[in-house]
Amino acid sequence: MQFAVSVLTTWIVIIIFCLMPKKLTGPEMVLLFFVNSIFAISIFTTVELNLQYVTIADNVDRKFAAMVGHMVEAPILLVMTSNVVLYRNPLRWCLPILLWLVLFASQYTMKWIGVLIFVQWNVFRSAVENGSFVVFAVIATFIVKWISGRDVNPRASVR
Amino acid sequence: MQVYDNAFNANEWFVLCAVTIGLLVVILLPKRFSLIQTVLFFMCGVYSGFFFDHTLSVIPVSFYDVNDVSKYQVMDFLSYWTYGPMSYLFFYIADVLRLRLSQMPVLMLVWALIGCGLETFAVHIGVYHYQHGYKIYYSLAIYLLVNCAWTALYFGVRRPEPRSI
Repeated sequence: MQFAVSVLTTWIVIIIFCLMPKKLTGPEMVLLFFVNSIFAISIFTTVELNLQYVTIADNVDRKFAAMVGHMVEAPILLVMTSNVVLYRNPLRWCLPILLWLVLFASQYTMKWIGVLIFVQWNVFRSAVENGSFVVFAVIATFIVKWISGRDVNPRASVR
Repeated sequence: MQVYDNAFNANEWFVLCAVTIGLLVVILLPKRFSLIQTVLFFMCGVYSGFFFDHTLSVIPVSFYDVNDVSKYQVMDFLSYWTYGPMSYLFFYIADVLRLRLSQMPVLMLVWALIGCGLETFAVHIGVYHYQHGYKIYYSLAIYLLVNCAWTALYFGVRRPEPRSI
């Protein structure tokens, strides 16, 4: 059941991502997805496996639910963050804060449905963890745009 | 927590040498891709390593541990970067040989077999520690699956060939 909830939530995030206006090219978004995933997976693993602040229930259904949340939902939310910071809207910096709150809500939904068990965890730690994801995504966006801007190889071009 | 060894020995040296040699190969090879494509093709290997290792080697069923202890360490993080040159070279060879989609399965198989060979060596020197009956054959299937995803990415981002008149 938890797995179904996680998949459904992730699919809603994917639908919103598909519908939103994009400011990045396909390869840039794929690269950001990879980079954000690596960062998020490393943080989740450190918090859960090494520090044991958060425990994933020892159950296949809940484990897969957590995996979908960590490996698909969170990185897509971060690619959405990367797109919104490139909008030419004066309110563009409010949108990453909104996505930070969505990440927050997603984590607490996982806690609520029993996927994550908080052992030595509190709201402040969630805020720092999710805030670090958003800050990392914003920095990664500008690095990727800088890399794109340096493309001088005439043989290869990005679709 | 399971501890396999505490010393800085063969597995750490293997990871450091593999990352260094791999990065040198990527840097020194003549450029065939734009910078964003180069970084993308490199990072997709790193991502594949992270994705499958954090899927297969975590609870409730941890099929293998990486490096000295079952916890996540800096050397584990570095060991995933050894997959980067592997993916870059996969795309590089496909581009050098101008392989068509119909010819890609041959490269995918060759690359999966090379991956299995390197993984067997890595198991031998203690980078991977298989558990719960995990065997190298399962990795072969995973490598083939990963190579399929890489092929899809390659044909998705590659510049379309100019049509001959």
